[in-house]
Amino acid sequence: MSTTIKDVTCPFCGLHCDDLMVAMDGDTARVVARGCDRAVSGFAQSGADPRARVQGLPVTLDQAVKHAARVLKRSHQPLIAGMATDASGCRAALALAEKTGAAVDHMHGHAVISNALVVQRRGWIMTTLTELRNRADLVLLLGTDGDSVNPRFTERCLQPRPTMGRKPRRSRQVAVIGAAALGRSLKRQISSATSITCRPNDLPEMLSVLRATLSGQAIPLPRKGPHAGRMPALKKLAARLRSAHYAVVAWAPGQLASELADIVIEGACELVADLNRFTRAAGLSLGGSDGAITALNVCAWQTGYPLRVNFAGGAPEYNPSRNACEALLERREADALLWISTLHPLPPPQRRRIPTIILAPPSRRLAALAEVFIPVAIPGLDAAGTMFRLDNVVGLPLRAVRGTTLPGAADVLNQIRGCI
Amino acid sequence: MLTRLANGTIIDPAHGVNAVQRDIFIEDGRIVRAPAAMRKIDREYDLSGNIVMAGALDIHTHIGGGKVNIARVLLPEDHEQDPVAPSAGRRGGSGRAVPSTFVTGYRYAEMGYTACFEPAMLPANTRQAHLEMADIPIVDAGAYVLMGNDDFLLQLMSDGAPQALITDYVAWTMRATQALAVKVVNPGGINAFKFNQRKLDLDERHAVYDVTPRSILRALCTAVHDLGIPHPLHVHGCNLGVPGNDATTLDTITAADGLRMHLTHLQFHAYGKEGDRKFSSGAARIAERINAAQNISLDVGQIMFGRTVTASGDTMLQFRGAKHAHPKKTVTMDIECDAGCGVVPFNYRSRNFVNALQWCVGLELFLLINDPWRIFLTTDHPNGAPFTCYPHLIRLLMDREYRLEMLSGLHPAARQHSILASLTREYSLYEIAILTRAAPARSLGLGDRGHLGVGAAADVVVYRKRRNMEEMFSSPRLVFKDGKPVVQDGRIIDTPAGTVHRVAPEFDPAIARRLQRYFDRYHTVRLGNFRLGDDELLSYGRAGLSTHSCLPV
Repeated sequence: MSTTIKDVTCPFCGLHCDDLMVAMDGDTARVVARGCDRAVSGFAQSGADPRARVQGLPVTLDQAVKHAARVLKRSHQPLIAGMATDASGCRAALALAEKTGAAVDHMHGHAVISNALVVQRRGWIMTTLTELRNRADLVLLLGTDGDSVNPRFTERCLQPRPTMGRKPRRSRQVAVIGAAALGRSLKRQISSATSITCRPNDLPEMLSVLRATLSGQAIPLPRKGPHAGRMPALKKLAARLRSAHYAVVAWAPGQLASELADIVIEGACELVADLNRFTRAAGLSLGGSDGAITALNVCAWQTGYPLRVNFAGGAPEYNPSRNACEALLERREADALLWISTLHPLPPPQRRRIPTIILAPPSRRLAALAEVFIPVAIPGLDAAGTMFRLDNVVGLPLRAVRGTTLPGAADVLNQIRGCI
Repeated sequence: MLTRLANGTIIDPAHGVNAVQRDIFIEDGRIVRAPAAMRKIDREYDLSGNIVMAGALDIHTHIGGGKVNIARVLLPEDHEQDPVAPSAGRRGGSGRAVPSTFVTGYRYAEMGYTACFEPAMLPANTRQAHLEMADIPIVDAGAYVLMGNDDFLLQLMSDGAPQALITDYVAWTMRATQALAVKVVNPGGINAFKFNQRKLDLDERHAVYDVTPRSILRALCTAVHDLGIPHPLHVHGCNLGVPGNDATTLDTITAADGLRMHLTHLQFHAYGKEGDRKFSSGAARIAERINAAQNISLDVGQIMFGRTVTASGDTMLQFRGAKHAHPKKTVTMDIECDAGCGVVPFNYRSRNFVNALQWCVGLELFLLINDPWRIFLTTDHPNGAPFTCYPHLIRLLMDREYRLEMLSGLHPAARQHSILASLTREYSLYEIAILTRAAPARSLGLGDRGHLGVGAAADVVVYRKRRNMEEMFSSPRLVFKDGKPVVQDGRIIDTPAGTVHRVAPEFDPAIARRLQRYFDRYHTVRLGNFRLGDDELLSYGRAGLSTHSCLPV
């Protein structure tokens, strides 16, 4: 017999839609309403083969925990990464990191830190989804179409008419600057959307020209360059920004050209600051999936720093470049890896063979990769918990819609810590 | 287990006890009557010559929730100055202006504080605020929910909704967010800023909604009164930090119309605009008015010199103050049709005229307001200064000679603009115990905290007598939390989880239907998921929930 559960929170992207309808048929969960593809496949993950393994061989949970503790104890510089888990998992991971002198990073650490670097350099003016949905009369997307990173973004936040503002019930203008494909996919969702095409690497220059145009500066235009032929469109966009009551400039840090991400974000923040001199405007960072915002928040309140901390010296030491997961592996500084990926069984980056402990939903593939594999509950499907939405403010309750015998990540991490 | 605290000198203003030597007995976390002579005492402390008070309470300290965490992310350079390594039974982190959660709990407990109250929890940020506070060990916590800038309330008021409906909404919100009190920040102003209104005076009309700050204050004051919430409406008024806002503050007191109202960080709202620098102290005028207005209570929000960060819900004024940021970076956020936040790092300098006078204004308020039961000791942590400077502030209040010495180092024009040098009052230990224990506990309706009577929670602090009050209050000999010794000779020895204090006012459930329509139409969170339930809150790792009674009218 199947039962239907309403208003279920989806843990599988940073939007954390909490209006899903999920039908339970025995141990099988199926999203029956308001699920995007990612939610549908996420909730459909099976819980088969829930056995812990050491070097590929089945062991009891207790044996796996003890072996994991031995690996971490032997290590001179453990690395706890992935960090795709809920708030309780992050709390337990940080406690373990502190006890073992580990470095900590998230699988989207680069995206999180690209934003954090800009905040730490110049601050920013930001908004949240409910504000955007009701107040924004102009939304400018930079290098993203929204839906490719958060699939229901346009449906939930851009398609409804804004309802609050000096002129309620006006329509919302949406524009994108970025690759041609982004413009095309955005127009499928919002037919009135406009786009200005450029390569990802040219976004910083497009933003500079837009800002200069907005402030009325005469720009000596080279005939060649990314903005050649784009001036009329940029001028028009500047005029629309100027007359907007509440413009929102959005980006997805993980979709920006990696080495330019913080430059683009900084440009976006400067644009927002320019607009706030005379009207209202705010930024919004999309993405935030796999618990990135949750990890950022918990790490910030427990250590004072937004991820990429290292407890090797006792007190947390923040170094956003040195403590990056990839950098620690590349430089062979980390000699043991604890990889946490509780939403999907995603593999760790394999630069070099070092003893690896993996906490993830059941997966034969990952079990074969790891020194220790411990299958854990998926938060929001198998276990209750809390995750933070991409806008960094709203915490959503996750529910255990499916019964499971698997332990939660926090439980396993606390047990490992207990053995050290 | 029965514990005797023997021969201590008790200061317990809630019972009028001033420096009386007697024993205190503790059993099962509570203060109990002296047992029959034959009962075995399990543990005894000889406190001869020591001062014994209840655990201190901080009625207004930004310790948990979005803006505090934003301030942490904003300022790695602040934390780098004060790294804290873990040690046996203690977690690490970092300190200074916005310490990490564990460090916050330890440092409060080390000063003899056993309860701290977050004064600005956004409903949309409820889970984060409570989760962060759950990671603050030892001390109890509670939160005041921010209202008065949410579009739902402003729409209700614009539509001319009856007060009863507004009152139901306030009660619903308090229950949904597990709050202890209601706070309003720049009533209507945070919302108006979203419509690009850059200032909003007490009687100025909101650009879109048919409300004024006065009408919002009135509606919320009445709701809190009618629901019988122990703590009055906690008000951060209009025009924070603006010269001439002393007049706004006097008008705000009038707007309360005899209802109880708490004016928070009043120092920031007590500036005149007289003199050649168009900036003067309004403390005397305001103190005179408050001395005569029994319905008003306040906390000071004293500033101290040095670097800190200001974190406030007041986006309108924080945005305006961004030009004073030091270092030059600020965060402003519009949040969920609910409220907002603004974070501005700040360096208060003793040689700066305005900062020096701010320091004087705070102390003038402390010294000119007569009734210690209506004034509470705060720095509006971290906005005026980090909470760790409380012992220094206590010394300034108790030691005039020291105060004059400090004053002599300030900007000379500020000294001339202040009457501080002429104020001879020195606070007594008894008065300090009122300000930091008895009065805040009473104001919040915490019947079993802030005193040492039989039945009280055994939150007890033991100080060695010192001539230097800063030294005495920095490092108590012993701190007990719910009967457990947690600090000994300035060292943390145990880190139990604290309790959450809250109220649970009753309301007509019909309000939920109206909210359901609002949430369906506007919100990006479902109404049912917005509420934070008891089990969920307890699952964060709390010792328990303590529900305080409301006395509805």
